[in-house]
Amino acid sequence: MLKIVGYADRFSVRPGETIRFMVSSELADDYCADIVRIVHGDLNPDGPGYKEEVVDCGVNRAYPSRFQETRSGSCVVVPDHPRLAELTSFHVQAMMWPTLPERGEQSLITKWTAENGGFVLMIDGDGALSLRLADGAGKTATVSTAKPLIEREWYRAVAAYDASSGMVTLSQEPVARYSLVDAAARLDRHVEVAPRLDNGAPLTMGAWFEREEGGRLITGGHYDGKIDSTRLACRPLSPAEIEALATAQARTPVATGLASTAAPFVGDVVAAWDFSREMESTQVIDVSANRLHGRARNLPARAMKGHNWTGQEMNWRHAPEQYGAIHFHHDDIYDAEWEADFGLTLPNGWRSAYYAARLSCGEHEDYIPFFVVPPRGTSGAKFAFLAPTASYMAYANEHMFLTTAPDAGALGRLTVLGPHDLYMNEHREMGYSLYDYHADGSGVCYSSRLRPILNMRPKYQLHAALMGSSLHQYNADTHIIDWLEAMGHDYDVITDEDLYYEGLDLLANYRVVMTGTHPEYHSKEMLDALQGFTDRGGRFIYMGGNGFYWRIAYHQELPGVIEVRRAEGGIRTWIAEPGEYYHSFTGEYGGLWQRQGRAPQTVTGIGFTSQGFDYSAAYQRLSDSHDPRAAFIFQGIGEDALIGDTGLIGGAAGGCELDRADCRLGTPPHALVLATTMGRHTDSYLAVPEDLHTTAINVTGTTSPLVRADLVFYETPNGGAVFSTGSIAFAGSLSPNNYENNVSRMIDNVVRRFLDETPFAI
Amino acid sequence: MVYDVAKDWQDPYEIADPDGRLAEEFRARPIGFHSAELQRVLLKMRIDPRSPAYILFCRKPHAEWQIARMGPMLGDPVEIEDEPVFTSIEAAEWKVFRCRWEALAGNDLT
Repeated sequence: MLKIVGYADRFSVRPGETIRFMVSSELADDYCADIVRIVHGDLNPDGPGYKEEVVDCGVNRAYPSRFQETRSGSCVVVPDHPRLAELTSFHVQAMMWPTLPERGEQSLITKWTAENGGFVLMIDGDGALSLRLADGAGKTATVSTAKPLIEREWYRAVAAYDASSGMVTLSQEPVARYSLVDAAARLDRHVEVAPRLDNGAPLTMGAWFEREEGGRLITGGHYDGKIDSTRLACRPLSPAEIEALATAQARTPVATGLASTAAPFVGDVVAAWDFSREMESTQVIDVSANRLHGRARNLPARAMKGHNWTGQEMNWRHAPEQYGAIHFHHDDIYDAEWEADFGLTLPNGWRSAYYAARLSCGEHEDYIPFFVVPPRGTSGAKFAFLAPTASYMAYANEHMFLTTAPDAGALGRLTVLGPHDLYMNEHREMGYSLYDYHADGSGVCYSSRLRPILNMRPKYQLHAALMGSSLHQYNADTHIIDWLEAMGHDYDVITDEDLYYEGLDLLANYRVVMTGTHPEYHSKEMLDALQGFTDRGGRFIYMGGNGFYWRIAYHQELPGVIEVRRAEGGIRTWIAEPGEYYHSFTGEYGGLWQRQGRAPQTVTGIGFTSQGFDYSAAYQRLSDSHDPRAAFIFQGIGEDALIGDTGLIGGAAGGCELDRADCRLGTPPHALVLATTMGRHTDSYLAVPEDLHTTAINVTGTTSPLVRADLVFYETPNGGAVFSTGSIAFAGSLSPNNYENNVSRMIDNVVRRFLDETPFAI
Repeated sequence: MVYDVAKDWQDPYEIADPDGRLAEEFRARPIGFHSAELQRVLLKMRIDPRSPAYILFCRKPHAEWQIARMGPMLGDPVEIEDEPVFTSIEAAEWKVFRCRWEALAGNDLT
């Protein structure tokens, strides 16, 4: 098991900027940190071997080991306020949709500390609604409906305490009614405890407050499920008042923010939180006159259907009042909030490249990757390698084969796990990838880089990657970095996140942009920048497969987090709920770019068509490869040669996830389809579901022409051009025979011609 | 009412290989192109709930693998078999094939 792990506060860093490294070490001895330049992260003895270079700098030294705890779980925190602290009696109500009610104690709404008392409206150990009260002087009382809540059913939860009588009222009232199922409960009980609300604690939803530690808020008792329409009053309310407050349309523009239904007792309303406001942000708005606004922590899911969603609107912007729910998960995480062990202020003169902080102690080691990019507005070369950091984040800590049944036929072989995978399996507080489910079965739609990302490492092998090196994403991309170094090509490294923030300006100084092996996730801003680049004469080399597939959104307020909504179609390991297809970060429609009229073929000439995970296949040249326009590509390559019949990823160049040309989806009519792997794949390769309009049996490598990778070239306006490989495995075929092979030769031909400023003819 | 798929679903396909041809085909090439008949056997092996959720643990990259099983509950530690240690994925695949065969067909291929 790993004993030392870490992360950095940023992916890309420029000269003059500081990057901070957070490390947790369970070892007794000091650990050593060294900054290394990563060249080739592949340990495969059949390849060029692992390559890194230590970079001499001031941070390279020993540091004391210390364990740093990661606390996952999302919640809303409302800072303490006199209006809250002065409460003696209270009424609290909310709509709730529990998703794991049997998991144990879970907080719904609280103002509580273990030392000073308060109240916790919660799900108890029996899965029932419960109210816990404490006076901070040793007296506590707990009242429970003793009726287990039904998973994924909306309830109105109400709790009240009357200081004058000592009476507690507690009720759970289901929205849906079923014959033979009595899910409702209500009780009134006298208690001998006067809960103390001037306890110094914030009011929290979805978790209870435990303590503050060095400015870090520690919460516990995290809830799985939705909360909607939380209301707080300073006295118990009558049934009519409860109903009026519940149905008060918080969006009505009256002075208090509450509609007239609540007007007769509005003076007793302490807070009415409307989660449907500022959904793109972390803000949680109280629409009462008291304005007890809060913040969402650790990225609970927003723009979620509320209890009153009618199904008539699918877009939360059109009916925000029906999207007043927040979905909390005990395994949500945005920022692990570790303390920094060391920081590196990047001096001038460092070359743009892949780097990492190497942490080592005896046999234990870990790497924290980062990318040095050129100073803004400059470039160190005419060639840029675009590190697909959005896709690295999408796959961050992917648990697919740790959560679902492994080896269920999808791989065509046994799943292989390594030490990093075992660590991820047992440390789920590190959070999930966009491929995973939360423990409650809902899909993970947000992914942050402010946490250890165990599968984004040099030396890491992915259990699902192909035979041979078994690399994927970050580590597979080092095959390209290594080739650029071996061939002597000058290059800069830029990242997706830079592209999102800077757009076309980032690309302005480059003649050639090359992608990684699997650039799958893009926001509109990123696609616009790349399209603008090729439209202006830029040359674009797509070195992978299944690129430009999913639309994502970056958070408008928090750095380092992306969102996906797995809507409509595509290979989806989870499927967004009906009515939840629009990103909460931006309001943009989520899902495949293909479903939004912007298929990958419009960007690269090819788009996702098939995947398989055993072996790769070579490309057979097609007649287009003999077109004079393609002559420069095939210089030095035999007329009848198979392209890429060796390789480190599956043994050949065409493998893993594959793309095809398709004019109906946007492949330009003048594109040359140079070569294909059609008819060469095993039956573990299957056509993608978005192409299957009904059930079909002829979807496998030996039965479907959709199973293929196409190699494509075409010219773009203003003298630019695009060259696309259509295979994740392709870069694994660059290095065999000491880089003297026809894939290496072909890519070298393309790079050299693309660097030549001579415009391509149209 | 919840239908227990793992308990109640029955795959009508039965594994049979009277002349040992399929086992020999798998042994010769555990991963890659397989005959249609062997593919059907492998599919049953991989989805039948009577067979444990086998995986491999790679304890030394490109050198050493062990047979392992997922724990019973989400997040439970992976259960790794100390012995044997395989020096190729293919050898480990063949061992798991034999274990599954015994679990589903009842006879030991060795």
